[in-house]
Amino acid sequence: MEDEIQMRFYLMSLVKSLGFDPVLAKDGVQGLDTLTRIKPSAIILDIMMPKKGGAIVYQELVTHPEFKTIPIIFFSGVDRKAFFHHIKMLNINLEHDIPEPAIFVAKDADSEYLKEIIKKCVLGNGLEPE
Amino acid sequence: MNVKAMENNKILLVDDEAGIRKVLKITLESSGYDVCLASDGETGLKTFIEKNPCIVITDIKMPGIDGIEVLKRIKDLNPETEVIMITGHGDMNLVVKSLQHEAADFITKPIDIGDLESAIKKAQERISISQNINSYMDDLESLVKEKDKKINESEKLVTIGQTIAGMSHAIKNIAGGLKGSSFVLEQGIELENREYLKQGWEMMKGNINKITKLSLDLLNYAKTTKLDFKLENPNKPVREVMQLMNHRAKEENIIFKLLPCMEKRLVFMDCDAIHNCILNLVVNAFDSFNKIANPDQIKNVNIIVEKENNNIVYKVQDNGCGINDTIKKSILKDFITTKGMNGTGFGLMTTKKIVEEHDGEIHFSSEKGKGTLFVVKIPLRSKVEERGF
Repeated sequence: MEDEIQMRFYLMSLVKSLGFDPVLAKDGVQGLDTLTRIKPSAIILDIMMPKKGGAIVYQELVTHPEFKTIPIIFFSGVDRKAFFHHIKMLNINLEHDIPEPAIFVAKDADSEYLKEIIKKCVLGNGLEPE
Repeated sequence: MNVKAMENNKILLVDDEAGIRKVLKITLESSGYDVCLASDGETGLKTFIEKNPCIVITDIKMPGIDGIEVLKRIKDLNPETEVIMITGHGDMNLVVKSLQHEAADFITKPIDIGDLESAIKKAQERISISQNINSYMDDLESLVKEKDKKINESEKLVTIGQTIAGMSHAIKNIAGGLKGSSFVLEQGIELENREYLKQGWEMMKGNINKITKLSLDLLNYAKTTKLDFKLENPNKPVREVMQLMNHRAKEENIIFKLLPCMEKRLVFMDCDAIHNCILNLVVNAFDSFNKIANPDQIKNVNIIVEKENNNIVYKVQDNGCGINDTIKKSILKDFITTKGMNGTGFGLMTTKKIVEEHDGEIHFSSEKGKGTLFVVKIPLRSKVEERGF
């Protein structure tokens, strides 16, 4: 899920180059809608998106019985610390705490690094039993 | 005796009795003092102005200008002068009076040379102490100035730090975009895929534009610290903005109007900086139509220049999307952008800074869906001195 068209194209080509099959969504709403039809091996999630931002999508995913096992890779230009703090603040309104995001890749990270992370998530998810 | 004390060696003696003058001159000169004489108050004051002694010894009772008057006038001429009074026996009223006028000391007749010399020594010490204090004060002043300068510099650094932090999102996005585009281009070359090459190239161009804009914004911001004030026609910076933006207005069907000011007086300002301010506000006004719901809406942007009290007021008015209530509070404070990837949050910060450097004011009113009005006030000054140069 990434709102910017060029970034979306980049992520698509990156996932394709790994031999995986990318499914694209331009915001959180479209992304969650896609999840009702397909179950991906991993989700790459931008934070600042219109309609539904990455933080809310994350909240919905980790509290969802079916989706909570899908590995989520945050990919954003937002400051990591500020974002984690934001997630913590969102937690206050919830009955159950939601876990701190496991994977956060800065938007300016090298493509090779991002590829490694995606590979690990996709393969790890396929191998590990639930 | 130190150097300063040596300089404080000059004594003026004012006494109407020739005998006393003669004896004291010989005695004091033999003790190493440089003595000049005056036989009455008037000559005494003249000699004081000519020779500028640090210490004056004067008899109180004299024909013409008396000792108290000499004391008063000398203290008026140079308050640092130490004046020692010579009094007759039982002149307690005069002694009190002279002390009220800040005489340094008094000695009674018949004059005891020991008393006189110790009075002179004390006076010299006071002079050198006050000279030291003065030089300490000077040192302190320059020290404070230096520290102030350093504080200003560090404040500037803090601002730059905040600026950079505020920009980090924009920078990371650009860096990410450039890395992304080079990956896509590489893939395009590897796979000989024209679509990849096209997309990658578009992405790279977009990010080159972004980084160009960001660096120009930064340069503009840096420029606000070094403004070049001149007397200018208040309409000049706005006419340039009109010329620059007319093309875009036609392209985007925006009705773009200028109401110039009739004020004949020139305004003391940095024309380029004010031009940047207004341009920035006009670009924002134009951009405000990007988010309007109805594409058929008539789009108006007006620049109004007018004189209000002692200010030249620039108004930039649009009927675009308006400013969100939550953003209103921080819009002139932080580097925020409502333009997503296309903004850096620099524009309004720079605008505000320029206005403040002109001792002016900036404020705005806005209603969501109805439009925004930005008002910039620049004080009308015709003289350079009024700004404290």
